[in-house]
Amino acid sequence: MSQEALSQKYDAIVVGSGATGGWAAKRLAEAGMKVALLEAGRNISPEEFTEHMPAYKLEYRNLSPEIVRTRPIQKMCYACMEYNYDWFVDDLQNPYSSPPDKPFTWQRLRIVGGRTLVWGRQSYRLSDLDFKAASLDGYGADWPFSYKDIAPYYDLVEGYVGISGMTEGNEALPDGQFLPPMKMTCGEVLLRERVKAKFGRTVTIGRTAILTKNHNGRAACHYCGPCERGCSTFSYFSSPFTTVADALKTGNCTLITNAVVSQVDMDSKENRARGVTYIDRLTRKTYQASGRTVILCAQALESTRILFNSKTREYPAGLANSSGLLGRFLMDHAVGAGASAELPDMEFKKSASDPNRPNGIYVIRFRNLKAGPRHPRFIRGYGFQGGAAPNYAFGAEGFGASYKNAVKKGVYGIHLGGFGESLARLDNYCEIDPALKDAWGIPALRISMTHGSNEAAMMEDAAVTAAEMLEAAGARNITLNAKLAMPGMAIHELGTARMGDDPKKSVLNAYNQAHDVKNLFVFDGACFVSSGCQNPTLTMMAITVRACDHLVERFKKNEV
Amino acid sequence: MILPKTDTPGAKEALVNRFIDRLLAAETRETQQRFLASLAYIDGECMARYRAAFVYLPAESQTEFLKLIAYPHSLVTWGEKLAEFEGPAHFENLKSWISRAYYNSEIGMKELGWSGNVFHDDLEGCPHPPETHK
Repeated sequence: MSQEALSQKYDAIVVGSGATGGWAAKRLAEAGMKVALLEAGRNISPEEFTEHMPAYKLEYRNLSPEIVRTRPIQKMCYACMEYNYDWFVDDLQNPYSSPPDKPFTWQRLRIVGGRTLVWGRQSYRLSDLDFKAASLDGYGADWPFSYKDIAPYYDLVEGYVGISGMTEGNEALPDGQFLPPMKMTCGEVLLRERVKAKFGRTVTIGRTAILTKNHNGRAACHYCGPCERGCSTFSYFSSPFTTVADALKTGNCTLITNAVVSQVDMDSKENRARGVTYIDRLTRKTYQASGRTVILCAQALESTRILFNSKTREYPAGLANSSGLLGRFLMDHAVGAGASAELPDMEFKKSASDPNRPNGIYVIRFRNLKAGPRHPRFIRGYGFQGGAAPNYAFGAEGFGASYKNAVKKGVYGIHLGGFGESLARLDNYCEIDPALKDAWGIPALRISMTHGSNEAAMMEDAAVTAAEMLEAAGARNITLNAKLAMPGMAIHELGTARMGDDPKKSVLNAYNQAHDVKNLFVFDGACFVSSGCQNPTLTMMAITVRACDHLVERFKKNEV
Repeated sequence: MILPKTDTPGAKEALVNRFIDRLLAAETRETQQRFLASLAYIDGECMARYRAAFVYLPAESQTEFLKLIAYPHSLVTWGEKLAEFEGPAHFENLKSWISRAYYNSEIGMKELGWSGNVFHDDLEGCPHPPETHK
């Protein structure tokens, strides 16, 4: 196979251009380091955004069966549709396996920006209830830092990204630097008031990475609705038009697209990473990029896959895996349970021309708080995402004029969906499937994960508490769902290269540096020690900036 | 008949039949067969009841038959469990294709008030003072 070494030696090779890779490139390039930012997919242009294009302009009115053929797994994500499926990976080219009795769904994008193009944008801080959860209930491990260590980085990231939300003064979900909150609907205000009065729980507006006023050169949201199809005013946070653009502006960052990284290259004598090998996605030609540091931001499972595929004589079980814990403690939030209903007394008139709020409400965790009480059936906790708003009644019964009128008249729906902590378990793991390779010949993953009895008990409780809260708001026709969705459905994969102070019990140190190889780092969700129940991207970004600042300091002193 | 012309255009005006043909042509064999099976079921039941396929029935019979299958059926009567009745499932299958195709057409989107305006200054939000919702 022909191989070509890039002539330049970079200070840092960053693999992946999503939420964490974008921040790493920005932060390191702005500090003066020479960065190569490698992305497995193509570049993206705002011209391909389709958020304002009506469905009837598409060949198949957004019902395209092509997705079924090439994206049978990706289409399980609500955001994968005829408008944008090309941003998601082709499942035929990007296989993985899982044991037949342990199905796992893995949603991926390979394009500059990665999943920040289509993410749900919900942005919540973790607290010491999460970072120090093991000390509180004895399960698992504490994180190697506390909330006070990461709080300044939350501030910094929020200040740049722009998170809209309400301050609540709730210890389980620390407040941040918020832009003005989006407005709640009548049904949501009603729910917030009743739930506070009856249960003392807090229903707040979703804290979301969408601007409610002009911020950092980007315009406020214009409430057209479908963010996952792009945003021509850049009102929601996506890395290509923020962090990656900033990195490129410094002149210190080179973006290399279509670079499918197969492994980290090692200098065995020095026990240092030399750089990475990548395959051009289109020409299949192999290249080597050399760097003084290598930083994986490829997404938790992808970064771990690269480390497994980088095994050497010194590291036969995968690079940075002397602990034997690489691939272990895979987590993904427990989802699927909750309740939905109608608010029959609400007056409303719905039109497809109404503003469309790309955000919901959030119920802050109220189980197993520091002050107690402890739930008898499960440890840790869950939050809810939800909303209350008029919907078209496409599911109305009957046919003819009465059906047509019923659809248009709509129903005032209300729903809450639980997001529960996924416990870090040794027996939830990924490894290389010896019999499976992707379209570029790179060994693929076998992912083996189940939710356990703790998650099941928690989700059953979530269904019941969701229903009681809807009931308190006067909802009717309550439907409960107490069943867990398959792992992967939350699209919050975390763990597999966890942080810790003890090299025998973790893969990375408190600054995301591999215990085994000093100039090798993993900044993405792989580093999580526990999952909390909060959407993780904000925390991943804060961790990245913290790790970058530490790296820059050491780099300047020649210590990495 | 599922989405007729009222004071606004219906599925026929939106050429929903042509679109479903196009969509189904690109669909998987399984989905195509499910759709055809539902059509065949309807004609089969109409033959059994009225000695003619659905399309040849007088309007009253068509309405009468659709009413039979358009609503969910209880399968328990006087405490006795009855055999499965397939009608509602086939009706729902066909209706969902027609409904999705219609409401994603230009005519259907306008039926729901779509105007092409995508820029809004603000959300309306709840305009009422606190504690006034009952």
